[in-house]
Amino acid sequence: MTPIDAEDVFLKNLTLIDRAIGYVCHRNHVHRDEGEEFGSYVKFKLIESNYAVIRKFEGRSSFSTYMTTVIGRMFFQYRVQLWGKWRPSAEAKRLGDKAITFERLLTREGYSYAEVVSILTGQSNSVFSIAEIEAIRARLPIRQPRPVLVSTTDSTDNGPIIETEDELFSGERGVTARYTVAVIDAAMAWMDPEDQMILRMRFWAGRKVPEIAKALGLDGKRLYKRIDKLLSQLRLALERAGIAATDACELLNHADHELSFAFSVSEGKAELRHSKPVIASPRRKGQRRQLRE
Amino acid sequence: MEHTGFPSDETLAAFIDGRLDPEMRGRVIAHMATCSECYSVFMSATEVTANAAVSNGSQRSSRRAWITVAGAAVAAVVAVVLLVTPLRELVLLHRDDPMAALMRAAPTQRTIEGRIAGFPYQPKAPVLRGKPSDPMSNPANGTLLTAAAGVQRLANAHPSVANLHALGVAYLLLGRDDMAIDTLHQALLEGTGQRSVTSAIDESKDVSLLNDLSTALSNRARLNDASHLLDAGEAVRCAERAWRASRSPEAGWNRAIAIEVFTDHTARPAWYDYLAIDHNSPWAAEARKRLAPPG
Repeated sequence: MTPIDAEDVFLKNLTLIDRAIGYVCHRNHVHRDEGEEFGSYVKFKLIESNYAVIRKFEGRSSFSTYMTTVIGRMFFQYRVQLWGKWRPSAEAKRLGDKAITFERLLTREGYSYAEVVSILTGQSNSVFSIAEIEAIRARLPIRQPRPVLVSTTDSTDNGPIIETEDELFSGERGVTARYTVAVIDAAMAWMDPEDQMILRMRFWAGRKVPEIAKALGLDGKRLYKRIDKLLSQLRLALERAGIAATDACELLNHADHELSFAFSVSEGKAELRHSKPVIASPRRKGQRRQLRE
Repeated sequence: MEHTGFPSDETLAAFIDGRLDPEMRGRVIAHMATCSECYSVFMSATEVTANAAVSNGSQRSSRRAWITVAGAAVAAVVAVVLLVTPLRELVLLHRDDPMAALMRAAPTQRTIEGRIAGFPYQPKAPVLRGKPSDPMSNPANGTLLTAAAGVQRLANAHPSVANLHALGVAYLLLGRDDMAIDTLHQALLEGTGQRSVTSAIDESKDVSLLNDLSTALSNRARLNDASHLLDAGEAVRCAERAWRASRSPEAGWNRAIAIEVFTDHTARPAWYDYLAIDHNSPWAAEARKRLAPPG
């Protein structure tokens, strides 16, 4: 592709490029003015060196997917200058962009856990689910939010309101939750990479099985069985680590500590299952759960 | 840190599109198991596809339901809106005006000699070492690119004369004279229903479109020796037509510029015509400088 052709492609695809920029900003909860700056950054990166990025395109994918990929990766470079001195934890980086967004809101921008959940899931077109946030939260290190100066006149007789964010992930239950998550992650690390991807997409990102099948080019019907088999492996790993299935069931089905793995109790025996509704015990009645599929 | 090495942007994109052979696919998946950046890009890209499908589906279904339930009511509302002038104006006020968006996003200095219809005065950008600066390589023009993308989206969805005109101006502001002229020609033909550009110019009563086409043609003629005479001639034709139709300052300015480009001499009579209708604007000051003897 000559520079002139590349320029023509760039100009004709400005709409597509803008849409991809908008989506990246939406997914990463970037403020509007910061989003505009990122938009300019992307466009000048694309124009740079006589449209080198566009000229590199060989037609092995659709141009729209190529642009989405390029712009998605550009955000990873850009976020360093966007967020100043703040850096995500290694664990957040390992978990991906959603974990970084979650951690940024919590520690850099000083929101409470409840506020972050509300921000990330409040919009109708939100890309986050509660289960996904909980799964991320259980895996991230505990970091203190940035201290904020407050006026003394703002204080009331009742004293400052203490956010109960870490109540959810503190104490004995929190320790057990984190330990369980660590065991699950360690077990997953030994799995085939494609199996890891499937489990991450299903349980970290809350994707439906047909969506995963489509994204990875797999047979949908076989995928259900494959996921059940993988969950059996995870159950074994949990048992070997000394986490009794009943304890895990009790822990993981609790609204506070849902780790996005569906456990169901059938015939008096706790089992790790997939895509089956949890039988509601009197204690859990009324608690929200997203395991119905 | 920039992601380097495997997989390249396009290999990852090909994976997302399901176009890789099994071996390469396996390598990408193995990489993604440890690379959160590629995993995130993959997840994001598949979300874009899924959201687009959901959005299209819901738009289709809601549209069907809407038509079934409220067709008659809508017809009545449309009739009221179109027939009652104040209401129509109220509705039109709320529509996006692509030209206004471009005006807001336009650079503070102009890179063309001509005047774009409706735009305020902007001093000319200095020319360094005889080479005009390229608006597309100016980092300050990021907003303009965004506005241009919006105009392009609008023109693609609704290729009306006004939207094509705005898109032509967007290209002109971005220094893409060829695309600007093609698009403005398209708008001119669309607006007049003529088959040839020459007859469309003679028939058109759209002064601002003629003005902007003249500006784009003069600009290309000035910069490009190969098409100089043809463009300059057409620019004069457009400018004369606009001048006869309106005698507006913009038409007067662009006429003088077009004649200068065509004859390669200061168009003194045309500048006097201009100053006769504009005495004290910044444009007039610039016109007087052009008339002043060199040195």
